[in-house]
Amino acid sequence: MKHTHLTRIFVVAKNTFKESVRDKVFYALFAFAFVAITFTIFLGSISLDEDLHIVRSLGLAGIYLFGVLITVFLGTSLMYKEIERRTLYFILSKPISHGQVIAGKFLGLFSSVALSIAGMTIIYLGVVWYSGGGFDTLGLLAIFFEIIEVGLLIALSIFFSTFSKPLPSIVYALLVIYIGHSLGMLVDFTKRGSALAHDVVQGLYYVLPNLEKFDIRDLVLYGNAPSLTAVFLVILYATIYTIILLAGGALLLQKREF
Amino acid sequence: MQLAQNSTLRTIFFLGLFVCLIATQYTYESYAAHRGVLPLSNLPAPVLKVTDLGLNSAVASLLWLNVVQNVVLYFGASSATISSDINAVTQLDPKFSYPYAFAVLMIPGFDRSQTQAAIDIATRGVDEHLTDWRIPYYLGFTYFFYLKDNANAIKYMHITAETPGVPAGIKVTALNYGLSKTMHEQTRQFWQSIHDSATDDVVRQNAQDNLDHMDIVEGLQAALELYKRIHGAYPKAIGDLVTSGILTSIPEDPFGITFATDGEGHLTFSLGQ
Repeated sequence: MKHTHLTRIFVVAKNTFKESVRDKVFYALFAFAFVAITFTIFLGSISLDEDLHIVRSLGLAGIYLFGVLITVFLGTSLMYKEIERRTLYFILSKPISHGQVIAGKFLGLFSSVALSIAGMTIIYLGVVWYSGGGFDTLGLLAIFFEIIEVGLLIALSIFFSTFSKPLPSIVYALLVIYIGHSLGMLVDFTKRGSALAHDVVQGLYYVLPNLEKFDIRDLVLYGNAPSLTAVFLVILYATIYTIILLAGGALLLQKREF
Repeated sequence: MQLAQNSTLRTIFFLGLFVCLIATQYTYESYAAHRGVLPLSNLPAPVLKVTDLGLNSAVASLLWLNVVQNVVLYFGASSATISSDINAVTQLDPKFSYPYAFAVLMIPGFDRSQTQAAIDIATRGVDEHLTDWRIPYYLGFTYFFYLKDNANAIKYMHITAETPGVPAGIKVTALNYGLSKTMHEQTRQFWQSIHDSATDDVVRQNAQDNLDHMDIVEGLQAALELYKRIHGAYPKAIGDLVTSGILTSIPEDPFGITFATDGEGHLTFSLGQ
Protein backbone atom coordinates (compact mmCIF):
# COMPACT_ATOMS: atom_id res chain seq x y z
CA MET A 1 0.00 0.00 0.00
CA LYS A 2 2.74 2.35 1.09
CA HIS A 3 4.69 1.45 -2.02
CA THR A 4 1.69 2.43 -4.19
CA HIS A 5 1.46 5.83 -2.48
CA LEU A 6 5.12 6.46 -3.17
CA THR A 7 4.82 5.27 -6.76
CA ARG A 8 1.97 7.71 -7.45
CA ILE A 9 3.97 10.58 -5.93
CA PHE A 10 7.00 9.50 -7.95
CA VAL A 11 5.01 9.53 -11.23
CA VAL A 12 3.79 13.10 -10.60
CA ALA A 13 7.30 14.12 -9.52
CA LYS A 14 8.83 12.64 -12.66
CA ASN A 15 6.40 14.47 -14.92
CA THR A 16 6.84 17.75 -13.02
CA PHE A 17 10.60 17.38 -13.28
CA LYS A 18 10.39 16.81 -17.04
CA GLU A 19 8.01 19.71 -17.46
CA SER A 20 10.10 22.18 -15.44
CA VAL A 21 13.41 21.31 -17.10
CA ARG A 22 11.71 21.93 -20.46
CA ASP A 23 10.61 25.40 -19.36
CA LYS A 24 12.40 28.23 -21.21
CA VAL A 25 12.57 30.30 -18.00
CA PHE A 26 14.65 27.53 -16.46
CA TYR A 27 17.25 27.68 -19.23
CA ALA A 28 17.23 31.47 -19.47
CA LEU A 29 17.89 31.85 -15.75
CA PHE A 30 20.51 29.12 -15.80
CA ALA A 31 22.30 30.86 -18.68
CA PHE A 32 22.24 34.14 -16.74
CA ALA A 33 23.59 32.34 -13.68
CA PHE A 34 26.40 30.82 -15.76
CA VAL A 35 27.40 34.25 -17.08
CA ALA A 36 27.07 35.92 -13.66
CA ILE A 37 29.16 33.33 -11.79
CA THR A 38 31.84 33.27 -14.50
CA PHE A 39 31.88 37.07 -14.53
CA THR A 40 33.06 37.04 -10.90
CA ILE A 41 36.52 36.06 -12.24
CA PHE A 42 36.71 39.45 -13.93
CA LEU A 43 35.32 41.24 -10.85
CA GLY A 44 37.90 39.46 -8.70
CA SER A 45 40.68 40.60 -10.99
CA ILE A 46 39.86 44.26 -10.34
CA SER A 47 39.53 43.91 -6.57
CA LEU A 48 43.12 44.64 -5.51
CA ASP A 49 44.21 41.07 -4.85
CA GLU A 50 40.99 40.12 -3.08
CA ASP A 51 40.01 37.81 -5.96
CA LEU A 52 39.05 34.81 -3.88
CA HIS A 53 36.92 36.80 -1.46
CA ILE A 54 35.03 38.48 -4.30
CA VAL A 55 34.59 35.25 -6.26
CA ARG A 56 33.30 33.33 -3.22
CA SER A 57 31.00 36.02 -1.81
CA LEU A 58 29.46 36.94 -5.16
CA GLY A 59 29.42 33.33 -6.39
CA LEU A 60 27.50 32.03 -3.38
CA ALA A 61 25.14 35.02 -3.56
CA GLY A 62 24.61 34.38 -7.29
CA ILE A 63 23.73 30.72 -6.75
CA TYR A 64 21.26 31.73 -4.05
CA LEU A 65 19.61 34.51 -6.07
CA PHE A 66 19.26 32.47 -9.24
CA GLY A 67 18.03 29.46 -7.26
CA VAL A 68 15.35 31.64 -5.67
CA LEU A 69 14.38 33.17 -9.02
CA ILE A 70 14.03 29.77 -10.70
CA THR A 71 12.01 28.53 -7.72
CA VAL A 72 9.66 31.51 -7.62
CA PHE A 73 9.07 31.71 -11.38
CA LEU A 74 8.48 27.99 -11.83
CA GLY A 75 6.86 27.26 -8.49
CA THR A 76 4.24 29.98 -8.51
CA SER A 77 2.74 28.81 -11.81
CA LEU A 78 3.00 25.10 -11.10
CA MET A 79 -0.48 24.35 -9.72
CA TYR A 80 -2.13 27.27 -11.47
CA LYS A 81 -1.16 25.91 -14.90
CA GLU A 82 -2.67 22.53 -14.04
CA ILE A 83 -5.87 24.21 -12.91
CA GLU A 84 -6.06 26.55 -15.92
CA ARG A 85 -5.35 23.78 -18.43
CA ARG A 86 -7.81 21.59 -16.50
CA THR A 87 -5.24 18.81 -16.51
CA LEU A 88 -5.73 18.59 -12.77
CA TYR A 89 -9.20 17.07 -13.43
CA PHE A 90 -7.55 14.35 -15.40
CA ILE A 91 -4.94 13.66 -12.76
CA LEU A 92 -7.48 13.68 -9.93
CA SER A 93 -9.76 11.31 -11.84
CA LYS A 94 -7.06 8.70 -11.27
CA PRO A 95 -6.67 6.98 -7.91
CA ILE A 96 -4.47 9.75 -6.49
CA SER A 97 -5.12 12.17 -3.65
CA HIS A 98 -4.65 15.95 -3.60
CA GLY A 99 -1.85 15.52 -1.10
CA GLN A 100 -0.03 13.08 -3.37
CA VAL A 101 -0.30 15.50 -6.29
CA ILE A 102 1.11 18.32 -4.20
CA ALA A 103 3.90 16.12 -2.80
CA GLY A 104 4.77 14.93 -6.31
CA LYS A 105 4.80 18.48 -7.64
CA PHE A 106 7.05 19.52 -4.78
CA LEU A 107 9.53 16.68 -5.30
CA GLY A 108 9.59 17.19 -9.07
CA LEU A 109 10.29 20.89 -8.85
CA PHE A 110 12.72 20.44 -5.99
CA SER A 111 14.69 17.92 -8.09
CA SER A 112 14.87 20.26 -11.08
CA VAL A 113 15.88 23.30 -8.98
CA ALA A 114 18.42 21.17 -7.09
CA LEU A 115 19.76 20.03 -10.47
CA SER A 116 20.15 23.65 -11.63
CA ILE A 117 21.87 24.54 -8.33
CA ALA A 118 24.15 21.52 -8.80
CA GLY A 119 25.02 22.88 -12.27
CA MET A 120 25.73 26.32 -10.84
CA THR A 121 27.80 24.70 -8.07
CA ILE A 122 30.03 22.98 -10.62
CA ILE A 123 30.62 26.34 -12.33
CA TYR A 124 31.22 27.99 -8.94
CA LEU A 125 33.70 25.31 -7.82
CA GLY A 126 35.54 25.68 -11.13
CA VAL A 127 35.72 29.45 -10.75
CA VAL A 128 36.97 29.20 -7.13
CA TRP A 129 39.55 26.61 -8.15
CA TYR A 130 40.66 28.82 -11.07
CA SER A 131 41.02 31.75 -8.65
CA GLY A 132 43.37 29.74 -6.45
CA GLY A 133 40.91 28.69 -3.75
CA GLY A 134 41.22 24.94 -4.27
CA PHE A 135 38.16 22.77 -3.57
CA ASP A 136 35.68 24.89 -1.61
CA THR A 137 34.27 22.35 0.87
CA LEU A 138 32.75 24.99 3.14
CA GLY A 139 31.20 26.65 0.11
CA LEU A 140 29.44 23.33 -0.57
CA LEU A 141 28.00 23.45 2.95
CA ALA A 142 26.64 26.96 2.32
CA ILE A 143 25.10 25.73 -0.96
CA PHE A 144 23.55 22.77 0.89
CA PHE A 145 21.87 25.27 3.24
CA GLU A 146 20.72 27.25 0.20
CA ILE A 147 19.15 24.09 -1.25
CA ILE A 148 17.28 23.50 2.04
CA GLU A 149 15.99 27.09 1.93
CA VAL A 150 14.99 26.68 -1.71
CA GLY A 151 13.03 23.55 -0.73
CA LEU A 152 11.03 25.59 1.75
CA LEU A 153 10.51 28.32 -0.85
CA ILE A 154 9.25 25.74 -3.37
CA ALA A 155 6.67 24.59 -0.82
CA LEU A 156 5.75 28.23 -0.25
CA SER A 157 5.39 28.92 -3.99
CA ILE A 158 3.25 25.79 -4.48
CA PHE A 159 1.11 26.84 -1.50
CA PHE A 160 0.49 30.26 -3.07
CA SER A 161 -0.14 28.80 -6.53
CA THR A 162 -3.03 26.68 -5.18
CA PHE A 163 -5.17 29.77 -4.63
CA SER A 164 -3.56 32.60 -6.59
CA LYS A 165 -2.57 33.52 -10.14
CA PRO A 166 1.16 33.42 -10.98
CA LEU A 167 1.84 37.19 -10.80
CA PRO A 168 0.32 37.78 -7.35
CA SER A 169 1.97 34.53 -6.21
CA ILE A 170 5.37 35.85 -7.30
CA VAL A 171 4.73 39.05 -5.32
CA TYR A 172 3.60 37.10 -2.22
CA ALA A 173 6.56 34.76 -2.42
CA LEU A 174 9.08 37.59 -2.84
CA LEU A 175 7.49 39.48 0.05
CA VAL A 176 7.71 36.46 2.34
CA ILE A 177 11.35 35.92 1.28
CA TYR A 178 12.15 39.56 2.02
CA ILE A 179 10.35 39.52 5.38
CA GLY A 180 11.85 36.13 6.21
CA HIS A 181 15.33 37.59 5.88
CA SER A 182 14.50 40.73 7.86
CA LEU A 183 12.63 39.25 10.84
CA GLY A 184 15.65 39.20 13.15
CA MET A 185 16.38 42.84 12.44
CA LEU A 186 12.69 43.78 12.80
CA VAL A 187 12.59 42.18 16.26
CA ASP A 188 15.71 44.15 17.27
CA PHE A 189 14.22 47.32 15.84
CA THR A 190 10.90 47.00 17.69
CA LYS A 191 12.71 46.45 20.99
CA ARG A 192 13.12 50.23 21.09
CA GLY A 193 9.41 50.85 20.28
CA SER A 194 6.14 49.95 21.96
CA ALA A 195 5.71 46.63 23.74
CA LEU A 196 2.67 45.76 21.58
CA ALA A 197 4.58 46.24 18.32
CA HIS A 198 7.41 44.17 19.71
CA ASP A 199 5.02 41.36 20.72
CA VAL A 200 3.36 41.38 17.29
CA VAL A 201 6.71 41.20 15.49
CA GLN A 202 7.90 38.56 17.94
CA GLY A 203 4.79 36.51 17.07
CA LEU A 204 5.47 36.91 13.35
CA TYR A 205 9.08 35.93 14.00
CA TYR A 206 7.94 32.49 15.11
CA VAL A 207 5.07 32.04 12.63
CA LEU A 208 6.56 33.31 9.34
CA PRO A 209 9.40 31.40 7.69
CA ASN A 210 12.56 32.56 9.39
CA LEU A 211 15.06 32.39 6.57
CA GLU A 212 18.16 33.91 8.17
CA LYS A 213 19.11 30.56 9.66
CA PHE A 214 19.75 29.21 6.15
CA ASP A 215 22.31 31.92 5.45
CA ILE A 216 25.75 30.66 6.48
CA ARG A 217 27.51 32.35 3.56
CA ASP A 218 29.23 34.97 5.74
CA LEU A 219 30.27 32.22 8.14
CA VAL A 220 31.90 29.90 5.60
CA LEU A 221 33.58 32.80 3.83
CA TYR A 222 35.94 33.09 6.80
CA GLY A 223 36.52 29.39 7.30
CA ASN A 224 33.83 28.75 9.94
CA ALA A 225 31.17 26.04 9.87
CA PRO A 226 27.94 25.72 11.85
CA SER A 227 27.72 23.08 14.58
CA LEU A 228 26.09 19.72 13.88
CA THR A 229 23.21 20.68 16.20
CA ALA A 230 22.62 23.83 14.16
CA VAL A 231 22.61 21.80 10.93
CA PHE A 232 20.13 19.32 12.44
CA LEU A 233 17.81 22.07 13.73
CA VAL A 234 17.86 23.89 10.39
CA ILE A 235 16.94 20.71 8.50
CA LEU A 236 14.21 19.93 11.05
CA TYR A 237 12.78 23.48 10.84
CA ALA A 238 12.71 23.39 7.03
CA THR A 239 11.13 19.91 6.98
CA ILE A 240 8.35 20.84 9.42
CA TYR A 241 7.61 24.12 7.64
CA THR A 242 7.60 22.41 4.23
CA ILE A 243 5.15 19.74 5.46
CA ILE A 244 2.85 22.44 6.90
CA LEU A 245 2.86 24.37 3.61
CA LEU A 246 2.32 21.30 1.44
CA ALA A 247 -0.45 20.00 3.69
CA GLY A 248 -2.04 23.48 3.66
CA GLY A 249 -1.75 23.58 -0.13
CA ALA A 250 -3.37 20.14 -0.45
CA LEU A 251 -6.21 21.23 1.83
CA LEU A 252 -6.80 24.43 -0.19
CA LEU A 253 -6.76 22.45 -3.42
CA GLN A 254 -9.27 19.99 -2.03
CA LYS A 255 -11.62 22.77 -0.96
CA ARG A 256 -11.30 24.54 -4.30
CA GLU A 257 -14.25 24.08 -6.67
CA PHE A 258 -13.44 23.16 -10.25
CA MET B 1 2.73 50.58 -58.65
CA GLN B 2 0.53 51.17 -55.64
CA LEU B 3 2.39 48.37 -53.84
CA ALA B 4 5.81 49.90 -54.58
CA GLN B 5 4.58 53.29 -53.35
CA ASN B 6 3.33 51.74 -50.11
CA SER B 7 6.65 49.99 -49.61
CA THR B 8 8.60 53.25 -50.12
CA LEU B 9 6.31 55.08 -47.70
CA ARG B 10 6.78 52.34 -45.14
CA THR B 11 10.56 52.52 -45.50
CA ILE B 12 10.50 56.32 -45.13
CA PHE B 13 8.22 55.98 -42.11
CA PHE B 14 10.56 53.53 -40.36
CA LEU B 15 13.65 55.53 -41.27
CA GLY B 16 11.95 58.64 -39.84
CA LEU B 17 11.16 56.74 -36.66
CA PHE B 18 14.80 55.61 -36.33
CA VAL B 19 16.04 59.16 -36.83
CA CYS B 20 13.64 60.33 -34.10
CA LEU B 21 14.84 57.51 -31.86
CA ILE B 22 18.52 58.45 -32.32
CA ALA B 23 17.69 62.14 -31.74
CA THR B 24 15.86 61.24 -28.52
CA GLN B 25 18.78 59.14 -27.32
CA TYR B 26 21.19 61.96 -28.19
CA THR B 27 19.10 64.49 -26.25
CA TYR B 28 18.86 62.07 -23.35
CA GLU B 29 22.67 61.68 -23.28
CA SER B 30 23.18 65.41 -22.78
CA TYR B 31 20.44 65.41 -20.15
CA ALA B 32 21.85 62.33 -18.41
CA ALA B 33 25.28 63.91 -18.19
CA HIS B 34 23.83 66.62 -15.96
CA ARG B 35 21.35 64.69 -13.89
CA GLY B 36 22.65 63.31 -10.63
CA VAL B 37 22.58 59.59 -9.97
CA LEU B 38 22.22 58.13 -6.55
CA PRO B 39 25.01 55.60 -6.09
CA LEU B 40 24.22 52.49 -4.07
CA SER B 41 26.95 53.47 -1.67
CA ASN B 42 25.03 56.59 -0.57
CA LEU B 43 22.72 54.30 1.36
CA PRO B 44 23.79 53.83 4.97
CA ALA B 45 24.99 50.36 5.97
CA PRO B 46 21.97 49.63 8.25
CA VAL B 47 19.61 50.32 5.31
CA LEU B 48 21.66 48.07 3.04
CA LYS B 49 21.61 45.36 5.72
CA VAL B 50 17.81 45.45 5.90
CA THR B 51 17.36 45.34 2.14
CA ASP B 52 20.01 42.91 0.93
CA LEU B 53 18.25 39.59 1.78
CA GLY B 54 21.12 38.63 4.04
CA LEU B 55 23.64 38.91 1.20
CA ASN B 56 25.81 41.23 3.34
CA SER B 57 29.19 39.98 2.18
CA ALA B 58 28.15 40.08 -1.49
CA VAL B 59 26.93 43.68 -1.16
CA ALA B 60 30.13 44.54 0.72
CA SER B 61 32.14 43.00 -2.13
CA LEU B 62 30.26 45.12 -4.69
CA LEU B 63 30.85 48.24 -2.61
CA TRP B 64 34.53 47.34 -2.35
CA LEU B 65 34.73 47.07 -6.15
CA ASN B 66 33.13 50.52 -6.28
CA VAL B 67 35.84 51.85 -3.93
CA VAL B 68 38.56 50.27 -6.04
CA GLN B 69 37.17 51.86 -9.20
CA ASN B 70 37.04 55.27 -7.51
CA VAL B 71 40.60 54.92 -6.24
CA VAL B 72 42.00 53.62 -9.52
CA LEU B 73 40.25 56.37 -11.43
CA TYR B 74 41.47 58.66 -8.64
CA PHE B 75 39.15 61.48 -7.69
CA GLY B 76 36.31 59.74 -9.49
CA ALA B 77 34.74 60.28 -6.09
CA SER B 78 35.69 62.52 -3.18
CA SER B 79 37.88 61.08 -0.47
CA ALA B 80 34.96 61.52 1.94
CA THR B 81 32.86 59.26 -0.31
CA ILE B 82 35.67 56.68 -0.48
CA SER B 83 35.95 56.83 3.29
CA SER B 84 32.20 56.42 3.82
CA ASP B 85 32.07 53.57 1.26
CA ILE B 86 34.84 51.68 3.06
CA ASN B 87 33.02 52.34 6.31
CA ALA B 88 29.92 50.71 4.83
CA VAL B 89 31.99 47.75 3.54
CA THR B 90 33.41 47.10 6.99
CA GLN B 91 30.02 47.42 8.68
CA LEU B 92 28.36 45.01 6.25
CA ASP B 93 31.21 42.52 6.36
CA PRO B 94 33.28 43.18 9.51
CA LYS B 95 35.60 40.22 8.86
CA PHE B 96 36.67 41.47 5.40
CA SER B 97 40.07 42.70 6.56
CA TYR B 98 41.81 44.41 3.67
CA PRO B 99 39.49 47.46 3.40
CA TYR B 100 40.48 48.50 6.95
CA ALA B 101 44.18 48.43 6.04
CA PHE B 102 43.66 50.02 2.64
CA ALA B 103 41.60 52.87 4.13
CA VAL B 104 44.16 53.91 6.70
CA LEU B 105 47.07 53.78 4.26
CA MET B 106 45.49 55.44 1.22
CA ILE B 107 42.83 57.91 2.39
CA PRO B 108 45.16 60.30 4.30
CA GLY B 109 47.30 60.48 1.14
CA PHE B 110 44.27 61.67 -0.84
CA ASP B 111 42.97 64.09 1.75
CA ARG B 112 44.56 64.88 5.11
CA SER B 113 41.22 66.05 6.51
CA GLN B 114 39.99 62.43 6.28
CA THR B 115 42.91 61.07 8.35
CA GLN B 116 40.89 60.69 11.55
CA ALA B 117 38.02 58.97 9.68
CA ALA B 118 40.55 56.53 8.18
CA ILE B 119 42.12 55.91 11.60
CA ASP B 120 38.68 55.22 13.10
CA ILE B 121 38.01 52.60 10.40
CA ALA B 122 41.34 50.83 10.98
CA THR B 123 40.99 50.98 14.77
CA ARG B 124 37.70 49.08 14.43
CA GLY B 125 39.60 46.54 12.33
CA VAL B 126 42.16 46.05 15.10
CA ASP B 127 39.33 45.76 17.66
CA GLU B 128 37.74 43.01 15.53
CA HIS B 129 40.87 40.91 16.33
CA LEU B 130 41.47 40.20 12.66
CA THR B 131 44.72 38.42 11.91
CA ASP B 132 45.71 40.74 9.09
CA TRP B 133 49.02 42.37 10.09
CA ARG B 134 48.51 45.11 7.49
CA ILE B 135 45.82 46.81 9.60
CA PRO B 136 48.00 47.63 12.65
CA TYR B 137 51.10 48.18 10.47
CA TYR B 138 49.48 50.73 8.18
CA LEU B 139 47.70 52.27 11.17
CA GLY B 140 50.98 52.68 13.06
CA PHE B 141 52.59 54.14 9.94
CA THR B 142 49.75 56.66 9.55
CA TYR B 143 50.17 57.75 13.18
CA PHE B 144 53.91 58.18 12.54
CA PHE B 145 53.84 59.76 9.08
CA TYR B 146 50.73 61.96 9.05
CA LEU B 147 50.14 62.70 12.74
CA LYS B 148 53.70 62.46 14.16
CA ASP B 149 52.09 60.55 17.05
CA ASN B 150 54.89 58.33 18.35
CA ALA B 151 52.97 56.80 21.24
CA ASN B 152 50.24 55.38 19.02
CA ALA B 153 52.75 54.46 16.31
CA ILE B 154 54.73 52.38 18.83
CA LYS B 155 51.50 50.79 20.13
CA TYR B 156 50.42 49.56 16.71
CA MET B 157 53.94 48.53 15.69
CA HIS B 158 53.95 46.23 18.73
CA ILE B 159 50.56 44.81 17.75
CA THR B 160 51.92 44.23 14.23
CA ALA B 161 54.96 42.37 15.53
CA GLU B 162 52.71 40.10 17.61
CA THR B 163 50.20 39.38 14.83
CA PRO B 164 50.42 35.74 13.68
CA GLY B 165 51.74 35.30 10.17
CA VAL B 166 53.46 38.69 9.91
CA PRO B 167 56.31 38.53 7.36
CA ALA B 168 59.79 38.54 8.92
CA GLY B 169 60.82 41.79 7.18
CA ILE B 170 57.76 43.64 8.44
CA LYS B 171 58.26 42.27 11.96
CA VAL B 172 61.85 43.59 11.98
CA THR B 173 60.76 47.05 10.73
CA ALA B 174 57.95 47.16 13.31
CA LEU B 175 60.19 46.09 16.20
CA ASN B 176 62.94 48.53 15.14
CA TYR B 177 60.53 51.44 15.00
CA GLY B 178 62.17 54.52 16.56
CA LEU B 179 65.74 53.28 16.10
CA SER B 180 66.32 55.10 12.80
CA LYS B 181 68.58 58.17 13.00
CA THR B 182 66.17 60.46 11.19
CA MET B 183 62.47 60.61 10.42
CA HIS B 184 63.45 60.66 6.76
CA GLU B 185 65.26 57.34 7.09
CA GLN B 186 62.38 55.83 9.06
CA THR B 187 59.88 57.01 6.41
CA ARG B 188 61.94 55.45 3.63
CA GLN B 189 62.12 52.15 5.54
CA PHE B 190 58.36 52.12 5.91
CA TRP B 191 57.59 52.91 2.27
CA GLN B 192 60.15 50.35 1.14
CA SER B 193 58.63 47.65 3.38
CA ILE B 194 55.11 48.55 2.22
CA HIS B 195 56.26 48.38 -1.39
CA ASP B 196 58.00 45.04 -0.94
CA SER B 197 55.12 43.39 0.92
CA ALA B 198 52.18 44.83 -1.06
CA THR B 199 50.14 42.28 -2.95
CA ASP B 200 48.07 44.78 -4.90
CA ASP B 201 49.23 47.13 -7.61
CA VAL B 202 47.60 50.29 -6.25
CA VAL B 203 49.34 50.15 -2.87
CA ARG B 204 52.63 49.04 -4.44
CA GLN B 205 52.49 51.91 -6.95
CA ASN B 206 51.60 54.38 -4.20
CA ALA B 207 54.61 53.23 -2.15
CA GLN B 208 56.83 53.43 -5.25
CA ASP B 209 55.57 56.97 -5.96
CA ASN B 210 56.43 57.99 -2.41
CA LEU B 211 59.92 56.46 -2.74
CA ASP B 212 60.40 58.24 -6.09
CA HIS B 213 59.22 61.50 -4.53
CA MET B 214 61.78 61.10 -1.74
CA ASP B 215 64.53 60.36 -4.32
CA ILE B 216 63.63 63.49 -6.28
CA VAL B 217 63.66 65.71 -3.19
CA GLU B 218 67.01 64.26 -2.05
CA GLY B 219 68.45 64.70 -5.56
CA LEU B 220 67.32 68.33 -5.80
CA GLN B 221 68.72 69.14 -2.36
CA ALA B 222 72.05 67.59 -3.32
CA ALA B 223 71.99 69.60 -6.58
CA LEU B 224 71.36 72.85 -4.64
CA GLU B 225 74.40 72.12 -2.45
CA LEU B 226 76.55 71.30 -5.49
CA TYR B 227 75.45 74.57 -7.13
CA LYS B 228 76.54 76.49 -4.02
CA ARG B 229 79.91 74.73 -3.99
CA ILE B 230 80.49 75.65 -7.65
CA HIS B 231 78.98 79.17 -7.71
CA GLY B 232 79.43 80.27 -4.10
CA ALA B 233 75.71 80.92 -3.57
CA TYR B 234 72.45 79.03 -3.83
CA PRO B 235 70.51 79.40 -7.11
CA LYS B 236 67.78 82.06 -7.22
CA ALA B 237 65.47 79.81 -9.26
CA ILE B 238 65.18 76.05 -9.56
CA GLY B 239 65.74 76.35 -13.30
CA ASP B 240 69.31 77.57 -12.62
CA LEU B 241 70.21 73.97 -11.81
CA VAL B 242 69.49 73.12 -15.46
CA THR B 243 71.05 76.22 -17.05
CA SER B 244 74.21 75.67 -15.04
CA GLY B 245 74.40 72.11 -16.36
CA ILE B 246 74.10 70.40 -12.95
CA LEU B 247 70.80 68.75 -13.98
CA THR B 248 69.61 67.98 -17.48
CA SER B 249 66.02 68.68 -16.42
CA ILE B 250 63.91 69.13 -13.30
CA PRO B 251 62.52 65.67 -12.55
CA GLU B 252 58.78 65.16 -12.82
CA ASP B 253 57.19 64.40 -9.47
CA PRO B 254 54.78 61.41 -9.40
CA PHE B 255 52.28 63.46 -7.36
CA GLY B 256 52.46 66.45 -9.72
CA ILE B 257 54.33 68.61 -7.21
CA THR B 258 56.17 71.62 -8.66
CA PHE B 259 59.50 72.47 -7.02
CA ALA B 260 60.98 75.92 -6.46
CA THR B 261 63.71 77.38 -4.27
CA ASP B 262 63.77 80.41 -1.97
CA GLY B 263 67.32 81.36 -2.97
CA GLU B 264 68.67 80.25 0.42
CA GLY B 265 69.03 76.58 -0.33
CA HIS B 266 65.54 75.50 0.65
CA LEU B 267 63.12 73.70 -1.61
CA THR B 268 59.53 74.88 -1.74
CA PHE B 269 56.64 72.78 -3.01
CA SER B 270 53.39 73.56 -4.72
CA LEU B 271 50.77 71.42 -6.42
CA GLY B 272 50.37 71.94 -10.16
CA GLN B 273 52.16 74.38 -12.38
